[in-house]
Amino acid sequence: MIGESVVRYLRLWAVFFRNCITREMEYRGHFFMQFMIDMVWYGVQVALFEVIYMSTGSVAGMSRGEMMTFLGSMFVIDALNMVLFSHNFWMFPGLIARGELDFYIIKPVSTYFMSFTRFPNVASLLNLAVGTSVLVYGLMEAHLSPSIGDFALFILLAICGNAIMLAMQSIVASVAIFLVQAEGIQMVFHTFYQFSIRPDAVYGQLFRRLLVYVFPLALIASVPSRALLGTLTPELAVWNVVASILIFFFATRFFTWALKHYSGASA
Amino acid sequence: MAVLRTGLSNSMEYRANFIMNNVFALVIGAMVNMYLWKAVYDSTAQTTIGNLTVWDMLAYVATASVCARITQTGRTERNAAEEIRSGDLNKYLLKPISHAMYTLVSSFSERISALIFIVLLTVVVGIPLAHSADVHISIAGVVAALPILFLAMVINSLMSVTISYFAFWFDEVWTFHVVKDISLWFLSGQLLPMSALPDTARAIAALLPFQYLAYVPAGLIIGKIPIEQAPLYLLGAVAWIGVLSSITALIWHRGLRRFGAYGG
Repeated sequence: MIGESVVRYLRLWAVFFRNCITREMEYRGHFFMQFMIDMVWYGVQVALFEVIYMSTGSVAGMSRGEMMTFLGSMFVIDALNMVLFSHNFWMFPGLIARGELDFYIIKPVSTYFMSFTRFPNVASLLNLAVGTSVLVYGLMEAHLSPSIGDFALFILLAICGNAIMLAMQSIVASVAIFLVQAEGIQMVFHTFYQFSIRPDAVYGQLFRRLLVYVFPLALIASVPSRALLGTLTPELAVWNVVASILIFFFATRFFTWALKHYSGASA
Repeated sequence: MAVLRTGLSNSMEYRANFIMNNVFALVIGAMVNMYLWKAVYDSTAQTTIGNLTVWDMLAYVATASVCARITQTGRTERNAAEEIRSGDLNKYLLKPISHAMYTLVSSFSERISALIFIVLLTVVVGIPLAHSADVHISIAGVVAALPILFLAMVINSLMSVTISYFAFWFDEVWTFHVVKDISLWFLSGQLLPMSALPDTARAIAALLPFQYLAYVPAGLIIGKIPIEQAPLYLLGAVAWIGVLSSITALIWHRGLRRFGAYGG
């Protein structure tokens, strides 16, 4: 029964992808401009650390190669979020303001699924390739050779990191249901997301604990990257998985509760 | 003055965005950078990077973040592209006003409230923090930085308006705006001081207008750019406004030839 549901949702997701690829091919200029924006963002992050490593051999115990491995991991996880979910969060406040969420609610599928997966961003698949290249370059520079098990653990934790990101974005989006006019509310998430784009080792001990155990922003990219850097402890790996399940569960409950307060603007 | 009043009232309509941009984004952005630079200094035997000690660097990063926030552009400049695309530009063409000037004044008026808030935040929180950390803030530098900050606002607005005017040729220009804004994190000196760049990159950066948005005013305020150099930077900023104004006017006139105004 559960298996059937999963297959049904995966099929639906595949349809969303096909639909979005067709749309993107109609606007090829937009496709490449979107890619350019992300490349500039990646370029700024890499350039910052390139300049920093001209003055020092290591930052918070990480060599240049290890930092590139972190950046590559972060780019890959960020690109996954961009491909699968991100675009939907920017559109969500518009659905509420125009009353178009009504059309999602009446469909015989999860409203959470419809709201946050309907529009995948296929242009960001290119980012995934660039992120993977940076990751491989970082591993080579740091002379790291993770085992298949390490890679498997990284993939698992990257999925968990994405689940945490999705949960946080959906919590912010759920607030938009109460505000009705909440264009740009996703900036709230992106402001706090800045803590995730640096390795957790740069933060002071107390603040780092806060980012790992209370506001788990360090679990999005920093902790998963440790699986490849060889600095991951079993406790931290288990916590990453448990935290992602807990926060995702809370986010779906919160969304369902918020939805009860939704009054369709088109009605 | 009427445009100023309207803009001020518009800016207060978006209170949530206002708080997000001017409190959280500013404080968190600066905080993340300060943690990074503290970790850099803790990891190196060097006591200075780009002629800045660790406390100078932390003060620089905080000040540069404030300056970048003051000089950043908003939705007013971006809306110019939408006005071209939708044909709303007609209403400006009928009036005896310059569209670029109108946009610039509207943009300033929307920034006044943010400006007052940021200055208050700096005075109430930033200065006591700087004193407790024994960071020197140059009063003469602050006075010299103010006109440069004003000119930097004009420079950034002109760049944004020029990008928006490309809407005469392209359907969507918002991606150009985003690319500009992301590039400015690095090019303006918000993430790191220009003095930390390698010699060639520093020489090129010194010729570009971006340094006026964060590096120059922040450097003057923390006393790392000698006050005697302020007039030179002031002249440089004015020269760049002249160059950018000419480019904006050229693109506006070229674009206007392609613009078709229909309807009433």
